[in-house]
Amino acid sequence: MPAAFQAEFADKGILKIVFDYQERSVNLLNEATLTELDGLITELADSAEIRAAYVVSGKADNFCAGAEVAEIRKISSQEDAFKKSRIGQQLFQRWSQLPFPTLLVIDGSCMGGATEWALASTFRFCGDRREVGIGLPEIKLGVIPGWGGSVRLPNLIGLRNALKMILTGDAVTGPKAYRMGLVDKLVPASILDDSALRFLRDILENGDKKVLQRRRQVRGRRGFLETSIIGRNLVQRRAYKEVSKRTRLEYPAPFEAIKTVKFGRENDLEDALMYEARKFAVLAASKVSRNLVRTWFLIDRSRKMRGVGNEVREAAKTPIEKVGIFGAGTVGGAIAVMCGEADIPVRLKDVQHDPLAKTIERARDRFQERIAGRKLSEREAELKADRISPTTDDSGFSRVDLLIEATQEDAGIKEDALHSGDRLTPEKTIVATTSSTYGVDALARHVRQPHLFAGIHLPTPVNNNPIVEIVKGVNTSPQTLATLFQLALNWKKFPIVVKDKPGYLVNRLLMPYLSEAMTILSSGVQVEHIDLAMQQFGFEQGPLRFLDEMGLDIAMRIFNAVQKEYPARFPENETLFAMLNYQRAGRKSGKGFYEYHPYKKPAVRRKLYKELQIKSNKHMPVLEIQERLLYVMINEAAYCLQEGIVPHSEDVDLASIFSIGFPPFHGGLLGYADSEGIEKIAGRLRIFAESLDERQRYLPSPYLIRMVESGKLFYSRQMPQPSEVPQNL
Amino acid sequence: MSKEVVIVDGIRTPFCKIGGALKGVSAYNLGKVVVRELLERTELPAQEVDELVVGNFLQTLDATNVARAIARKAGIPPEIPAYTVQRYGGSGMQAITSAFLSIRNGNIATAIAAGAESISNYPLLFQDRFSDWYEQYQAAPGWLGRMRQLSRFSLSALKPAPAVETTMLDYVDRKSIGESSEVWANRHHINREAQDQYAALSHRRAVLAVESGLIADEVAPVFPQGEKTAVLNDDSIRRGQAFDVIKDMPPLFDADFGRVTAGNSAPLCDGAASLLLMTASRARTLGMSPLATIRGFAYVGVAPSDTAIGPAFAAVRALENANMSFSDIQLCELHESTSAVVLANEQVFANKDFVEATFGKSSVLGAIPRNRLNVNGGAISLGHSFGASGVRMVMSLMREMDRRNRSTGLAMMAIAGGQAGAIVLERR
Repeated sequence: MPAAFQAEFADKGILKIVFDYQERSVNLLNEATLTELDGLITELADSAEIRAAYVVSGKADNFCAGAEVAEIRKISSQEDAFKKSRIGQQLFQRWSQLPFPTLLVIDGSCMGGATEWALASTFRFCGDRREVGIGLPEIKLGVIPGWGGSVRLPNLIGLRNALKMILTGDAVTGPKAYRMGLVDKLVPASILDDSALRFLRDILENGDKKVLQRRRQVRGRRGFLETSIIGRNLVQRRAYKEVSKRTRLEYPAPFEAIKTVKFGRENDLEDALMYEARKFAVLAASKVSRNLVRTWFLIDRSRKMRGVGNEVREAAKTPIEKVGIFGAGTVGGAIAVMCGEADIPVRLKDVQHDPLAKTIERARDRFQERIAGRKLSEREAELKADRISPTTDDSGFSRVDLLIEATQEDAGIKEDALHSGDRLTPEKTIVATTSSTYGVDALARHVRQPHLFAGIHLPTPVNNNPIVEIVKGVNTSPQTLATLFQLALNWKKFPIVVKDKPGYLVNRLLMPYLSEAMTILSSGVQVEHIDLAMQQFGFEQGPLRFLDEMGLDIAMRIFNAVQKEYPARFPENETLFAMLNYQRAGRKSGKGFYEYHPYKKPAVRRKLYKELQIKSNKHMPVLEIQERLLYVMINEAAYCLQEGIVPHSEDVDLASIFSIGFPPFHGGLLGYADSEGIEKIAGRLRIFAESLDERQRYLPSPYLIRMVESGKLFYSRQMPQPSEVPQNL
Repeated sequence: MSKEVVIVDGIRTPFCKIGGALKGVSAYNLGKVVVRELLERTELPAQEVDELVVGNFLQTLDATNVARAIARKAGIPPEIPAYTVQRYGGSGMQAITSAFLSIRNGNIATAIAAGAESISNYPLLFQDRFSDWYEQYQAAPGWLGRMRQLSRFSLSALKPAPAVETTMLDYVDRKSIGESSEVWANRHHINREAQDQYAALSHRRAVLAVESGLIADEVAPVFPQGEKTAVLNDDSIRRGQAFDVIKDMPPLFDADFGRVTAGNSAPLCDGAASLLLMTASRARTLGMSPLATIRGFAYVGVAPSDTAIGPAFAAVRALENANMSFSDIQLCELHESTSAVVLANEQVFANKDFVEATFGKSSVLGAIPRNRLNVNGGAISLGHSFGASGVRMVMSLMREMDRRNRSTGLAMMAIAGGQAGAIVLERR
């Protein structure tokens, strides 16, 4: 195995270490590289020739992605976590105590453990490229930086900056890192290597006065809040309050992070590191962190196209250089905006100008937000919006690589659109429909090449739902699926390939959940009570509020489509009818289950119960509400797996977290089901079936019964194959 | 070996009066619409364009060399160069002829010639009085000096000078084209009624062109920021009895004896237009069917007081360059800066004695029948957008030649400050 670290003298006494981990496309700190680094440090410490050393990365846009997440996942207990934290801490401690100055040259992304390494170095440089990002994303995995980062960062960049970096987990850009004193120099990328050498020579000849002076200057700018004990206490209290407001108590990491930072400021290094390791251990071994790590792997799995089968993953993807869209309605418009954002030119056709204007306006608004968030400059945002080229005629489609049919849900219109698509686009163009009512296979006879035809479904809310469902028809080719999958990734979405059946995946999961909420409502339980029960479970919004946001008319349409296919499990939903009868279509119409006013909090009025003819005096235990809503959803997920809507439980979990708002700290719907126990779930469902009307709705699915009989779990049935184990960060 | 240069197609935005529907749309955004849409409608991939030339009268302050901004916004790859040209109201025509020359000489094979102007977004300037005062204030020694300077300040110095009023004048005699056409009209007894009648004719023709769908065909919609719908229509065209309205309008320049009014001169507009030019052989390779071939062009200079009749001089020179005689020309566009300009040139073209005396030969020009001149209206009814007007006019001429199945056409315009330009087109 070639070494990950190559050291050679770049000049007399100045050692250059190149970090290039051959096994992966990015550098990682895992058992192998850490052991090697350990050996290297020992060697360096013994050498008499070395007067200074600097580290660069051998990868193009990456310095090091930090600790390997798979190793975090392997943590078995608190003791194990503590040990791992101590090993890293001691390693970097030894690095910081080398008898000569060290310099880390960061010209790419530098995350987690790597940032902690940088903090333990004497000096840090970074390149001025856009690819440079320095961050401590541990909080996103439910832990805190555990290799000395929680202690060293505040010492270097001050309390407020450090807390912000650790609590948000967001990376900072090169210029920002320089401003806050995280790096000592910001250097044009092209001369990084040379200037690192020159810098070290200068240090050896003239000492480090200048650098320390700058650090003092930056520190001096921080003022009273940072320099005095009272100020620091104020900052900490503020941070605690802020975090309490934003974070649910289920996530302990932010609170522990604040405590660790505080402890680090008040105690000496060794004690602080010990404290950090203990805190890290408790968090890393907790269920919450495990579930967040799981969620991370779900995302990673989607990004790397695992779980779609080899045939699709390895299929040749058509590069999408131009997209054509028919129909600038909600869905067509949303797709146009996503394409613009991904810098893909779009020809957007509609029969009228108004929806085109609306789409362009929406794109401008969206990119304006990104300007406000400093993600884009004004001109860059403008250029993205300019990628959307609106038209009411047929021109501009002769060179599209992908045509998306997003016209109204009307058989005749769709048929015409697909025919004219065939006429206007070249042979090789992939065609996709966004129809949720007419399936891909039903429409496939109107396209000339069914193997180049598939569906794209954006679950509601279409404009910011992270999930994109890619609908596979009987004839859809792997190349077509792979191309659309990649496109969805370019849109920064998580694609899921689903089978062509009404409701696909997301709506299949959503409908039983939402209609069960309405059933409980009509049995006399109050709206707030139902919503609160689910919020207590961890959902951001209760199901009825979710319905309001989604729009009840849209819910009705989806419900009807699903009902037609599965009438036994989805009987007529009278509440939904009644709601629409009273013009309660949800937030957009001013009232749904709640009533909305521009300046008031949404509230439920008595009139709602009168209109729905509900007494609203029944009490139902919170646990029962949670069980009914979640278990019918789990049951439906089992049906989906049985029908092969999606092949893997991971797909269901990804969809449940990102499209339905299932709390990630529970680890996804089916991960949660496993931890609850399949037998318990099936048993409760049977009890519901016996005690409630419409027993068909609750009966456990054959799939679930089989699982109980064979004693299997959603995740044991398909223990990840070695090749399927996601590996790096 | 000079190449044959063809115009494949053209397109424009609606022309809307200053402060009208396009007031929030900058010149580069207008230009973007016509360039991007031209590429879409001709189905030409952007990387096939070799150069973008844009006529723009007053440089957009946040995007000087507006052509480059337009190219980037329209999705033309950064490798393809772009530059901006300026010849007053003839800037658009200059863009066409500059692109034409590069292609004819074989430097490039394909170019987009466009014009874009957002007069609504012209800056307001400080008067010289104010800038002098400000300079002295800055230079004043000590606070006492500053106080003294402050005491010399007069509020009236803050009166802004709109760039649109000061920039379109001749360098020496400080006259706009409207004023110089008035001078000419007075000298040659072109009366107010004839001018107003001509303006009304322009409006009638434009209304017909709108009704027959000609205009909609050549217009690309613009989607201004913050608006709920597209801007689709020119807003200067007067429907109904235009003459009755125009005849009572007050003179613009000379309150007592003036004849040029807002009604019989071109309203200033925001707008953009573009043409796709390439060698004939390139068009054949790409399977495109061009609308016209450029046979020749000319620009001339005349005494600033003769600006109005400049087009006659330009026409003679352009026809000479194209090796054609005036009798071959079947369709004409003469830019309607004012009615007076059109009427003055009609007189000159038809005046055999004058033509003979001036050019040595009476046959180089001749009377232009009204049914061959500006047949779909012109700048008086459609509006005048400095950078874009020349392009719009050539596009209208070319499209009408195609529609009427005419094989030759002549587009002419007077340019402020004593210049004029003309382009000869042929349809093969």
